[in-house]
Amino acid sequence: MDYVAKFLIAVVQLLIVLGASPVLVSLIRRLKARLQGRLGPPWFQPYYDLAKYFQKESVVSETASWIFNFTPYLQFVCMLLIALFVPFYTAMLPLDATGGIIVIMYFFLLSTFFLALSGLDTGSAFGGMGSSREMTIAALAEPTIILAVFSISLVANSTNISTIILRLGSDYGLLFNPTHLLAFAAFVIVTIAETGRLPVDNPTTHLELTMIHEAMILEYSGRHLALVEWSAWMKLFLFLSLLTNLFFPWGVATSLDLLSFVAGLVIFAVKLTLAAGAIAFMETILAKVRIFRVPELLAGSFAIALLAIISFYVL
Amino acid sequence: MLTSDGFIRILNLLSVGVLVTGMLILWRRSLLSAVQIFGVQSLLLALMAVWIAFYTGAAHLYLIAFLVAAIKAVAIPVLLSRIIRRLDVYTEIEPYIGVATSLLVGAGLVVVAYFVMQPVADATNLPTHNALPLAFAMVLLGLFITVSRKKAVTQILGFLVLENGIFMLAVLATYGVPTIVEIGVFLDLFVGILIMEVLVYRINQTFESVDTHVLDELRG
Repeated sequence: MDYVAKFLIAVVQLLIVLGASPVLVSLIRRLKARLQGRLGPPWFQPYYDLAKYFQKESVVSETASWIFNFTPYLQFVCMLLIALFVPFYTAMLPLDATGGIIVIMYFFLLSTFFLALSGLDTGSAFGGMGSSREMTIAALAEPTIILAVFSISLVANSTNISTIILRLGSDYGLLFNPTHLLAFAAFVIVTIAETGRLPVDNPTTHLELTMIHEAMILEYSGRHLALVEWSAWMKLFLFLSLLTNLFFPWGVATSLDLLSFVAGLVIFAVKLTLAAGAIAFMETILAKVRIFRVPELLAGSFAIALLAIISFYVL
Repeated sequence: MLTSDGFIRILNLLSVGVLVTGMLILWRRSLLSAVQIFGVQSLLLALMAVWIAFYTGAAHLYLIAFLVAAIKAVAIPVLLSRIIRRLDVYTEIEPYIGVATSLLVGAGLVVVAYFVMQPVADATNLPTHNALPLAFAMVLLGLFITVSRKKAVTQILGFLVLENGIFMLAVLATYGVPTIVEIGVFLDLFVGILIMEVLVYRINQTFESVDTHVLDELRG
């Protein structure tokens, strides 16, 4: 693949993740509102929010250190970097030669780690509470992520995302083996925990006792808040892209021609819409679990991921 | 005729499905949904028996699959749900071992089963031999559910999971024991559950609770 094509794909990937992640969030909100008999916010509400945040002044606490100012930018850049590793509509990824699925997962964790630090940084009680909860969840979710990632890698015989997609896409029998299905189940639970959706965290809550992600970003305002919110939306977008494309690699373009790119884009949009529908549905029928029950949920996903690895060796 | 590869694939999916339902029983605190999951597990076992019968031509397995579906997937769940409703006890509130820990122990038991059963699985050359460790893991899981839970109903459920594990082992290792033995086992199981039901009512009458740990205390 020549350099120009890779560069163009990289630009398109970045534009997609920047432009489409607010739309995805809007889609989930509207679907959820419809399921609950409400009308829901306008389609472009996330964009209006961003525009407003960017015009406002950013107020920073006097006691905050450089970490507080640095975190929004770091998070934003982390998400943009991950976007170059994650397949959206094509398996030809710009940074493919640089790293694989493990790098992606640790970029996510790096941004989570810094967000937790900045939650502690201002010394506000809620920020600290949010950080401690977020780190509890991240620490419990990480073993599951790694096990789930390893089981996909075992099935596909590689940790390189392009290779995984090409391999799984060429042999659909691999998609229906127990290891792959169990890894999928574990990854779904981890996705919910990591992106702060119900039943682990409620993205719309502003009730102090239940906040996790919202508590950490409580001190942010103005352009910092815009970047943090946008990063959170991109994280959701990237996790859902990974989930849908790694486990159902149908339609992901594997060659460099325009037709397969267009088809890839359409199928990608359909997949994300289905995933958004699933999230909206789940968030309508499920209530948030108590924070002390979250370890049970994540232990369950860990057990499932472990079963995935075991079943690879047993069967 | 099906290829042996396709047969093994579907069989493996079914056996992992059975094991996952075992894990789910460990996961759920709600007794009613645990009973329903047990019903699903038995249904999967019946499907497995049908699948093996279809592939190997062992016709007696069809009858056994029917019995599994009728007794374990329908009759026993209905009975157990009736007990739960009559006793008005719906959740396993505080098991001896916490849910998160017991899930990890459950996953550990699967690893143990793998190491214990590997020589046995290697000794046979049936196409089903790979799933043998999973069947043994079910036996261990059932035992673990029985010892780690307090409510009498959940302990019965653990016993039933153990029984399912033994059945799965028999079906996978020998394509099922003779029909007459199997029917005898089902009869015993069914009568056993009926007796346990009466026993649970008695425990509830005497102690006003179905927590089995109250049985440990001396009453003067």
